[in-house]
Amino acid sequence: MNKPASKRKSSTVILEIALFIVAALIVFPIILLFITTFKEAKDLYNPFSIPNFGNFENYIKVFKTVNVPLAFGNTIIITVSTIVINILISSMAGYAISRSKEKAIKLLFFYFVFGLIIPFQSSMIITFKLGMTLHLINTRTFLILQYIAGGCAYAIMLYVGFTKNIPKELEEAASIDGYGPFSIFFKIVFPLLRPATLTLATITVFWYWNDFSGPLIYLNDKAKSTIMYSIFMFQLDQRSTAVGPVYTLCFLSIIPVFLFFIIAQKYLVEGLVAGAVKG
Amino acid sequence: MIIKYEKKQFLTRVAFVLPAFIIFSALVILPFLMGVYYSFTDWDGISVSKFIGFDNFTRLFQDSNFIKAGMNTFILCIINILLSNPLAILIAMLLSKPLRFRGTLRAAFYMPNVLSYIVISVLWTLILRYEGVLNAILDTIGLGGLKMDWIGDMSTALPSVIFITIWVSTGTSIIIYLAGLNSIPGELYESAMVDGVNSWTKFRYITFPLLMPSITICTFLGLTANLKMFDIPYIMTQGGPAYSTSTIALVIYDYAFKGMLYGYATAAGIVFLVLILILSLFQLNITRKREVEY
Repeated sequence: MNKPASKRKSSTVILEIALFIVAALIVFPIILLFITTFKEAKDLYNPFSIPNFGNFENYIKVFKTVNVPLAFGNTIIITVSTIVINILISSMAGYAISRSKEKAIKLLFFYFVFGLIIPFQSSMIITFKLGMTLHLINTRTFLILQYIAGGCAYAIMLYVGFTKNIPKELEEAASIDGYGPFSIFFKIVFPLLRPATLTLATITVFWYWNDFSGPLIYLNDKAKSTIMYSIFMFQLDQRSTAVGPVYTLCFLSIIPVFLFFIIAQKYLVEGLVAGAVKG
Repeated sequence: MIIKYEKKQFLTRVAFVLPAFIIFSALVILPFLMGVYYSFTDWDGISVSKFIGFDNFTRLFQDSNFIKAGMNTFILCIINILLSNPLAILIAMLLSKPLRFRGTLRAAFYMPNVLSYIVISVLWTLILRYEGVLNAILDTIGLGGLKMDWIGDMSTALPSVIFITIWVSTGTSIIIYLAGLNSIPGELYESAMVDGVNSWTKFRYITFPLLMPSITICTFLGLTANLKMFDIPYIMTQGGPAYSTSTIALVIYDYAFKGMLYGYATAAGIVFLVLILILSLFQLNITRKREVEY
């Protein structure tokens, strides 16, 4: 009786070790990035050289050449405003579409779904020109508006699905109590949509924090540059000279997303699965 | 009275939908529709654009750069899907066993997904460039003969880009497959065990068919994400060497913002949309057909 049990256990241990080795190989480039930030220019590409964790030269160089707090600040402003506004308008729209009896509003669902199919490349030139005409190119506002326009279709789909699970009786009762439509939505429905909101927020933080093509086209002003665009510009400047600081800036840029990933992992996984199943 | 109430309800709904509708229409639908118009013109952003019928489209289908980019994009998608899905299914099946540190392992496999493409590109340039880490390792273990300029050589540039996309997309797939595996009823395996079925047969006739919905999702996500691949080739290779890593999205960007061929690039964008539609419907059709009810 004992023997098969211990045998199974050893095979499990082997499997665990094997999976850890594979996982280590996958994470290796990220660890390498971290280690590289503590290396001198001459040892940058030598994986066997010992890093000096007391050597902050690369970090000092980054802060001297790139306005890191500004880039982080811009990225935070853009990410947070996009997500907050998107949640607000998409939850309202999703709720109204889900509850409507009118055909016209119901059809809007497909209108938004159609938008999910249109690739960025088919409309970017026109939006770029539009931004030029309105003098909104190179403003954070225009990028935020772009993000909301591009992201609201997905958000509305999510909210339409979640609203269906909320019993209508609650709203009817509130209506009898004299609540207006807006207070019904914000005081009763919106709090019940919390799972959808959390899912949406966690998934989209990565979209906007990490986006590169948006700033490349609509926001390439140095003073308003996001962190990802700053990395791009920095690596263009440094291509011939020292690249150590470029890796350091990359590493700095992923610290917030890593922390966020660890905190929000549960919602992220749920959202990924729910979004995938519904989509 | 009732009519008045209904009308008020309707107006409320309109008010709720309006903000999203306006932003979405102004910045997605309207530019798209205008794009359809401009794709039939020789618009360059400076002089007055002229209607030129289907000229842009006929030119596109004879444009060797565009065709090459289309081929690259297609190869990238196919190889990514064919390699990353089996790998993800295998890892997900192993991870669904009662192991210690499952959460940690799952997080590790997902890790590349939280990185931006710019960080991914810089990171893999560190490893794959000629002076890079991979060649240094090859040198040290005595395989110096295999040294390559992995992203600068015609023969290895596209495979390198594909490898990186697999490194990224496998993590998402693992999580979706894990959820798919969890939803397969355990009784099916129990009755298979009673029948003395071997593990390959179990996989072939139980796991694989019941995992088909997850396979549909993962191939769909992999296809749509990689069809639009822009960042990695733009940052790492600029589509080179000799267009060996150019993608459709990259070519459209170059035509628009480097060549100022607005009308032509818009036409390419429309063709791109049609391609995405056809390929994703084709893919959904293939994988959906194999989904089974249980």
